[in-house]
Amino acid sequence: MTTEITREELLALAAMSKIELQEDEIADLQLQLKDIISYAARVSECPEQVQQSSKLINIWREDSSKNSSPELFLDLAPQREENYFVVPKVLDK
Amino acid sequence: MSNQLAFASIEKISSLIREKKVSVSEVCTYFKKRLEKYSALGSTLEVYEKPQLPEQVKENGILYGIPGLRKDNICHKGYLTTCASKILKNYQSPYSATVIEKLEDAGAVILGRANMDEFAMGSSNETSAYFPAKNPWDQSRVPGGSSGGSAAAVAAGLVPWALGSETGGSVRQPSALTGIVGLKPTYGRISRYGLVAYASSLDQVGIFAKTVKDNSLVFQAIAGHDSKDSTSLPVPVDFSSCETLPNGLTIGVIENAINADGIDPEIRSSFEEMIKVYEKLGIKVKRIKLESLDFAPAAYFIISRAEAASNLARFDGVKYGFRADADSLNKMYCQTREEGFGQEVRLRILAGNYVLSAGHSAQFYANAKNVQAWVKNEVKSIFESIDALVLPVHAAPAFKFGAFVKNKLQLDLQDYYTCFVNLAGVPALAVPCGQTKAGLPIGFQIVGSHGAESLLYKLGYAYEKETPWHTMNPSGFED
Repeated sequence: MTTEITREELLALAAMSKIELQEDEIADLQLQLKDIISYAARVSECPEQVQQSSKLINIWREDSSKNSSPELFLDLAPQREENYFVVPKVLDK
Repeated sequence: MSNQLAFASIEKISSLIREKKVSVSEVCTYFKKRLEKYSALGSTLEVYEKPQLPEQVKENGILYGIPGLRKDNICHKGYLTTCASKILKNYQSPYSATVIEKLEDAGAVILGRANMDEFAMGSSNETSAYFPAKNPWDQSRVPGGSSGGSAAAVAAGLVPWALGSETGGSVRQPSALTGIVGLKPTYGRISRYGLVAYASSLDQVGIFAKTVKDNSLVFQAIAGHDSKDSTSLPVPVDFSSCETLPNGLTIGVIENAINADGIDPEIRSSFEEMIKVYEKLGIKVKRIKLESLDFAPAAYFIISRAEAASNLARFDGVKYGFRADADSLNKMYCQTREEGFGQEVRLRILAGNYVLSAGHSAQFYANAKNVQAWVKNEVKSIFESIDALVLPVHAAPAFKFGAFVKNKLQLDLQDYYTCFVNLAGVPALAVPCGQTKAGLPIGFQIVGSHGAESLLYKLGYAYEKETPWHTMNPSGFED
């Protein structure tokens, strides 16, 4: 089964993924995505339908604080002001 | 003394240290110099200027004074951890992974960080944003991936051990392509705290070493429950010696794996020779079928890409890492991720969001989870009558750089023999079992039931004792 990925679909995916695409890579990405998605589609031809029993259990821990310096983490930010991360303005014009 | 150290086993180096024939500092300086001397192999992204030597009180530690490498996606406090990506090129980890702390507690010395495919996405080390690691057996060929740098360094005798990580085969495949021993542990057996996430339901830290015993020593140092990792198994680990093999074992040969299309005849014949060795050791061999094998890669592609798309959403240029200049927040996100991630990573994020999006998730994600449940059931029922499975790791020996530029899907299918193990969550050990006529290593893997690492080590050790493959070293790295 071949699943074509249209240019519009790819651009919508890129917007959803917050990835800007360069014009010259779009055709190549369409092709590569088509190959992997077409191969992956064989999961729908699986001869077995398995009853999936979820035996997952939650692992709880105390919600307690430990001594650590916020500086260690805040210092990693590309831009900060006191205890805040600074980002470019949120709304486009 | 130093000429005894290159390619020496951990056991051997430990005894030299204990007998005071060499000091810890001499050992570490020796291997650090080797890493620097052979830097053209591309196995490391950084060799530490001043590695932290263990305190004297740790001299009873199982890895006292034994140097090694961490893969560049395992955090070490105060050092860079970049995942071989530009997006983390300046990320200095504020904490150490649990495995690093455990290694240091056992007296081990971390000498640097090993090269890898960017964010562990690749099977050839070609997606590293910096430079690819090469295969020490033939430097025009890949060492495999994604933990290619770790494998290349151990195979070339630049360090006695290295950590890697696995999501679909990233430890076993490079082990096989470079002729060394690689462990993918049971899911939850080794803490993932401090391992940068790719696909969390599959990711595990893994181990590279020249021999089965050396590999088991590192396993002893790092395996076990960790309260900082909620997926860590709260059960005791069997650390019994690899040197004693239980009687009455039965191993299963996955017949459809060795009859798969495209398997190299030399790999097939090495594999058949390997089975004869086990038969000679008195182990019962049963030929079986793993029906779900052929569906596992598709399920693996979907689950890993879906989780990658979610996990890598955190790299947004806000909290740490690279940020592109842009005049609005949304543009900053999009440009940061365009410039910061390489093409393979972007492709996997796009594929992940495709299979998760409305209209596709039932066809892809739900069906992939169904295949995963089938794999788990089938593997579980096989282990009701069989102690361990054997199958090849790779269909062909190490390939040339750029061999799959025009056919990316074939490169992704390097995971064909390995990824069902990750879907099932069981452990597997890759062990060298031959060489092609051209002198390229061949490996096979032993797969066990949940928690069966010690049996895998016993089976691997028993095979190793009967065969010469673990004693062979690539030329050009003598001293």
